Amino acid sequence: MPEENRRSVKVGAVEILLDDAVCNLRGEEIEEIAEDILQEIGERRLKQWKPKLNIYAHAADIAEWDNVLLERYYPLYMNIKTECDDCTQGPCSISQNKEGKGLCGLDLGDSYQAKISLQEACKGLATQLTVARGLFDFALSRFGADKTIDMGHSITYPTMNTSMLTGFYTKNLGDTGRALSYAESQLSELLLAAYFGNESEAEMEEKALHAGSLTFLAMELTESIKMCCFEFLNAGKHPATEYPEFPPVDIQVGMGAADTSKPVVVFIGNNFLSAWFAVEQVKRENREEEIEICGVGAVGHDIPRFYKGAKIITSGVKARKVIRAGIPDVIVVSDLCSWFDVLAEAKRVDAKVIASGYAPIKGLEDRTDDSVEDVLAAIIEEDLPGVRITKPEKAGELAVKLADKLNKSGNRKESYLMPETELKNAALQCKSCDSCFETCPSKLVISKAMAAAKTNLEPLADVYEDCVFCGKCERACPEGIRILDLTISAAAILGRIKGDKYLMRAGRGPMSELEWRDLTFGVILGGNGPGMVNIIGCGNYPGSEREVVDMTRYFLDRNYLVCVSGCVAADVAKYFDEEEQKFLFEQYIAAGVLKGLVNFGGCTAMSHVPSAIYRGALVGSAYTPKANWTQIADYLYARLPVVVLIWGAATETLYSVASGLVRSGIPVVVGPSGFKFKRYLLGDKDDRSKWWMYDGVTGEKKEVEPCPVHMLVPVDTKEEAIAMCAKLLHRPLALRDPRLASLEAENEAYKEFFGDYSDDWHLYVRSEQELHVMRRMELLKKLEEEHGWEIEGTRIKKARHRSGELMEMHEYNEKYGIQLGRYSTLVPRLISRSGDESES
Amino acid sequence: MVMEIPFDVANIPGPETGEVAPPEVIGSYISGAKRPLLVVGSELLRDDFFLDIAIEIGKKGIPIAATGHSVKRFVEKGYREEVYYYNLHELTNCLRDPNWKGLDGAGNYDFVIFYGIIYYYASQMLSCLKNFATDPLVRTVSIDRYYHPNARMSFTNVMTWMEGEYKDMLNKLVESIKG
Repeated sequence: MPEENRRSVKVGAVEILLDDAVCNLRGEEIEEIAEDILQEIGERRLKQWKPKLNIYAHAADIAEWDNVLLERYYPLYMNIKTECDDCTQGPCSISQNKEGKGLCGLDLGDSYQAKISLQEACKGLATQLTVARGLFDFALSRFGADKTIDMGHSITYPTMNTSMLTGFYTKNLGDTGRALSYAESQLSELLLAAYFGNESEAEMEEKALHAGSLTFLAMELTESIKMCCFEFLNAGKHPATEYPEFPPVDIQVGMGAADTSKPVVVFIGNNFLSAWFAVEQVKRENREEEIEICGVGAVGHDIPRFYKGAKIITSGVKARKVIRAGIPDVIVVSDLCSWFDVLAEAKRVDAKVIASGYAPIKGLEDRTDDSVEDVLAAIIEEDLPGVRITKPEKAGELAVKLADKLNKSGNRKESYLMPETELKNAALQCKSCDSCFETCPSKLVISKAMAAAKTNLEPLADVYEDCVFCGKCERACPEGIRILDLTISAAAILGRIKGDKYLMRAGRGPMSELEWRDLTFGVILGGNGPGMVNIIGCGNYPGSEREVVDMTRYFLDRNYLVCVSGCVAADVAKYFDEEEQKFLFEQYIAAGVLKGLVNFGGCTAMSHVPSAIYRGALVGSAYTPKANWTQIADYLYARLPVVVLIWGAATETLYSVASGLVRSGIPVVVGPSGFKFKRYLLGDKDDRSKWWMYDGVTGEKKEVEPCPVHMLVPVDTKEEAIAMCAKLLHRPLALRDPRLASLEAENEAYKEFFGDYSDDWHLYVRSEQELHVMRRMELLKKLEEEHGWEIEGTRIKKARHRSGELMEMHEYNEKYGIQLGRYSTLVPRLISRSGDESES
Repeated sequence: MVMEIPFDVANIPGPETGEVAPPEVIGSYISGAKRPLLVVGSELLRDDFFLDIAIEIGKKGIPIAATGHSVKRFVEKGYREEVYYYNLHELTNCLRDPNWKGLDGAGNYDFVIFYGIIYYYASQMLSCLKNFATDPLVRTVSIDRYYHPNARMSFTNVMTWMEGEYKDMLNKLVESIKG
């Protein structure tokens, strides 16, 4: 473009050419957004750094940062697929030809696996975009485009996931629509690459990371509509003084929570709208005490955010056990994260199904246009298995009326569980062929429990505790044993279902800047807490609730801040301290500070995880979070001790979520049941060439500690998960006290769970002050004897550099790591131009 | 070649699938390795017998990478010779790198024995090594009670009630490994 036609913006004395400052300048809207952001950045900072704004970002616009990550963390591909039929020439065997490439040129080793990785991430994004679009359209028709999106006075930076990609906060539904349309157009681009792309591995993975960021955007838009249009609990609208006890511990959770003597409506899936109208119906008739409104999965965590009387039964993947136990009179199902034959399951217990929203169920007639009374009469008189109702107002009203009618009809049995004698006789049919064991995704040894059932039901009830209720075992059993019914019945006979009743806090929505200011003193400037652990995701894991409870308690007892979101929040709640006579959520404060246990909410509330961490970055840096991805991610990646643990991680949504977190600079630990994950991102601590940062003032490239050593890593057991989370809290720019806290967290966990310290703990030591006083002498001795350091009394005199050279401490700290408090970066563009930027 | 259905019946990788072999054959195969490595996981912890088998294999001069938190039992048993904690995926990442220095600094391994690892977890690693650890070739065997089609050689599927038979197989395997 000729120089005279290039548009520029003047900020104080600095003149910026827009097409230099914006990654992809196209159209007036982007020019206007860019001008606003540049004014917000201000003259001083524009003198220091060249801006590169990713307004309405395409994947390639953030390649500058993605490449930093992908060069440091090598993708490790799993479950290798060697055949492709994506094009018209397929199927194509990639491994069995001379070139080791498909006809398209993609090779097996990297680019083809990266393409599959992108496909998975796109599925996750599509799931969340569909939820967001459905809710947005409904909200728009009801409230109009001018409806304000106000996150409350406690939230300075509102829709951060959105602003990071688009350059603006959504101030009303009109803005929400713009952001949503942008994300949908991005999905189209990504899908094209995922099925017809010919990009390199790195370019495919950049796109997979982009799909992850967009997934958080979609979740956030959904959350903002929920909070601003449907009165979901929102901490942003409450003063910070309330946070320690906000919201109260008063939501019942568990299989034993629902009172089945009353009419019971169970909502399953991701769409809360029909539940919203069901609650309206119940309130209108003043029948809150008479009707049980329950939820399973994402909607289970949504309802308590607007209705205190709601019960959370279990996670979405375990919905089948709720029906098998005969809990619902009526099941209202929307789009599920893990589909199963709802209709067949409902028939077994004489329950009726209402398919709401746009997710049809085979075998159900669409009766949206009929009156509620007509549909009600048809279901009862014609004994229909259920109906499909696309309008949530009608589905909600029908659900309540139908449950009431069914409950009073006397057509449903008092119990659908097997009596003990019948159960034992059925167990005797087992021939121990182990077909169930072979097909079970959790590899539960069911045959042994069956053999024991004659005299002891405990093993069968233990299978119930560990089961994810997929039902594969029943399909495989040659004897036709109703294995799930047996395990559920055994658990019921032993009182485990009735006893499965706990209290938790409802989801509170976002974390405020004020809480991060507190946290900053605990984990960044000071350091009597190792950091922030976010436990998110589904309940899709064997070992069930016990393991997430154990891990949560471990972290809380050691001063971590623990934030939970997604279905796992209800599993974390399942602990009652007999000594204190308190539930887990009662034992710890609800504020986002050290030793706090915060519940953000259901599935879409996972979007509060990155936004909470972005707020942490903003509190410390005051950078703009608008279309400024690289600078924010660069800042928090190297400083903030945060980690995410996804324990039950088999869905595509979680795959995409994990990708999005990584791109934000947040390390992720995945439980062993994340076996559907196609790709991990691992670092190599031994490769010194990978671990460096630029001095932000001089531009000198300096070797740093290998941390965080991985960005997306699976673990085998809860013990390994705890140790890995602790290890991933090290940061190269951590100050002295946080270094001590994270090193002690790692050392304590390794010693407890592995019997010894790690082989690289010494790489994080830069002064004896960073060794915890309780084990300082022991560690100094180890430094001397095992690592060749020179120790004098309680002081480190000389340290052994990774090169093998023994050097004085001042020289060591000069050559290894970043001087405490020194501004540093991984991105050449962010090296200060004026040389006057330093951090305090 | 003995044919077997993969332990997870739907896990049918192709076109190359591993061979089912008796313990003596696998033991002999291991004995031919120049630098073998035993990788163990958390399933080992369900019975001390399985831990002792790992130690017996270790005593034949084969270093052990203990994944999950299995290393703790080795420490408690007082067996510290050539036993290292490693994250399984991190280890796999290293194994496919010809320049990896190994657990002892003497270089990568040419042969990996998988033992005591959750089926689906091990299957991922074996799939990765089969396809990507090919130059130089890293051979893999599984001595768990599951047929692993992604390993080059594997035990057959052993029913859960045949624990005694499985233990016999492991004893025979140890006997047939030449130290």
